[in-house]
Amino acid sequence: MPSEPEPRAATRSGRFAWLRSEGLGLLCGQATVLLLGVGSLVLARTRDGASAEVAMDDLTAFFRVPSPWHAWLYLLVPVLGLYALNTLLCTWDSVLAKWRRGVRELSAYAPALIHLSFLLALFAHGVGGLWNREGATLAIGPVWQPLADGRQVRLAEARLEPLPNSQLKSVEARLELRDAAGRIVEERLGYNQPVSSGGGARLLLLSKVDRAATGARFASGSERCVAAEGAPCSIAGLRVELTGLYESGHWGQVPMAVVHVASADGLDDGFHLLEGQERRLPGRAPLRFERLEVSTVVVARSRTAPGNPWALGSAALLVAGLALMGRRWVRLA
Amino acid sequence: MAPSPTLTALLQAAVAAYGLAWALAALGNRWARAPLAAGLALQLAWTVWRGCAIGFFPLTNKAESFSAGAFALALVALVAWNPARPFALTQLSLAVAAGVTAALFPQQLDFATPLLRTVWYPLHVPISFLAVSTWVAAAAAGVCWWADRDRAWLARVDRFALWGFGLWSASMVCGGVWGVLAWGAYFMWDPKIIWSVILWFHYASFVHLRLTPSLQARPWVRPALALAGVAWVLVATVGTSFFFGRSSHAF
Repeated sequence: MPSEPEPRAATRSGRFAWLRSEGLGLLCGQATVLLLGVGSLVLARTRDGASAEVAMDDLTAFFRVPSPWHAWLYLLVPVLGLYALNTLLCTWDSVLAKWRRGVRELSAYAPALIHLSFLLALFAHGVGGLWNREGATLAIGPVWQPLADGRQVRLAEARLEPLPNSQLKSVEARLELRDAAGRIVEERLGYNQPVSSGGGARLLLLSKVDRAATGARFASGSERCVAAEGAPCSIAGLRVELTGLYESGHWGQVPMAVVHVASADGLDDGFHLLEGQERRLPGRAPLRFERLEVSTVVVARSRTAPGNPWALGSAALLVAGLALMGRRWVRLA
Repeated sequence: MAPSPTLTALLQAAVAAYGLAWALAALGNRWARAPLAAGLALQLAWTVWRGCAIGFFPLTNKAESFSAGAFALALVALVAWNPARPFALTQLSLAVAAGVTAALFPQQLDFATPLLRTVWYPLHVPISFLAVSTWVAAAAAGVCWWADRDRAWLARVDRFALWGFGLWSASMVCGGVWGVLAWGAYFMWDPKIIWSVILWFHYASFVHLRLTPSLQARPWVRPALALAGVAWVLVATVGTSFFFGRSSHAF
């Protein structure tokens, strides 16, 4: 975004005057165009080879496995560094000159805001490219399960809206998050509606909605209970802990539960049960694995993206700069 | 869903109207704007009809995307109308080409997938088409400068390039916010996103050209780079959709 031409004769002298020249800015801009153009072709050509590990906005993959194919990126880094320095110096000169001339109209500083937005965007790309991380993929069902940040999460409700052709139109999942102190907060998760914190730096993003085995239903005499991994249940004086749950096809044609049972009278036993199978226990009715509990789960991926808040700040500055341009949109200098 | 024959005919009629506008502009007829406006009205009706049928902004397949491109090109041509033949014909040629391409693609009605159902999508895409169309107007003004060397065209080149840059920046902000909400990232190493950034850098440089003292004596640089910009626009919009393989941008 062009600033008004400024009388910068005083600052143009000296050995490093070239660093603040418009010509250098243009050169860096067009060099960036060229290098990114080459990069787009290289990435498309080497997607299954040298660039196979390049995903999302990651920059580290380019350096983890250095390749001559990525020379465009290795050149782009210093070019953008020089571009940033040039933009910073030119903007500083321009703002200083305007201020000294007594210019106080906000619109006169709009280009400077846009330049700052550009610098912030470069910083965001650097931070994000180096430190953004993909986390685990979670299938969140009605049973509490741990999150990487120490909290637990479970699905309280999932509202699915279908289209007339039975495809999915929208999903609104109500999640409950429980901290170590037992406090529960509710969050909504949907497509284009991540659970976000830290200005978008920590995200839980919806991938899909699915049906999955979330627990096992047990029977003992006339009693029933449902246990899930990490969520034991009580039945006929027994504490039933599910330590493993396998859907059909994993160990055989029938689902299998690995359980650990304990009671106050000293029973402490571990075994596995196939669906429909029962286990005789001393002095009590047998424990039967009645069936797999299948429920709706939302499959979500977690992502740490420390570049996002900086990019958001950059976007805000850009919008502010564009909005403040005012008459400059019509009357070019 | 299969569209009704009337709906398909609306797009064909709109493209025919753009073709008529092109022919009249080529003949220097002052009524060329009338079929252009009629074509826009027909295409608007086509868009609203499809939008009502699928219950969302109709930008779900290639026919609708090319149609939106044709609409934006025709709209900018009408708003920035100038009877100079190279100016009108450059814009109308691309509008007709985009319209014909839209009409050649399958016309089925597709429901928007859940990820498209956000306000950022109908902001991001139409604004980007308007930006691209404004840059086409800048290039058209550049063609006129090559034809008659009138400096007034240079001012138009600068103005359209700047407006396009502003619109493109707004579109990138909308796309970036959507990217974070949908995928957790405002940027990805994806051909269309890389080329979006390329366009931003190209025109960011461009809007500084007129302020660069060493280029004051070389007025041809701006028209030349405006034309190069349209080449980059074609790569970014059409090239990345068909020749770069996998992309997060299906259209």
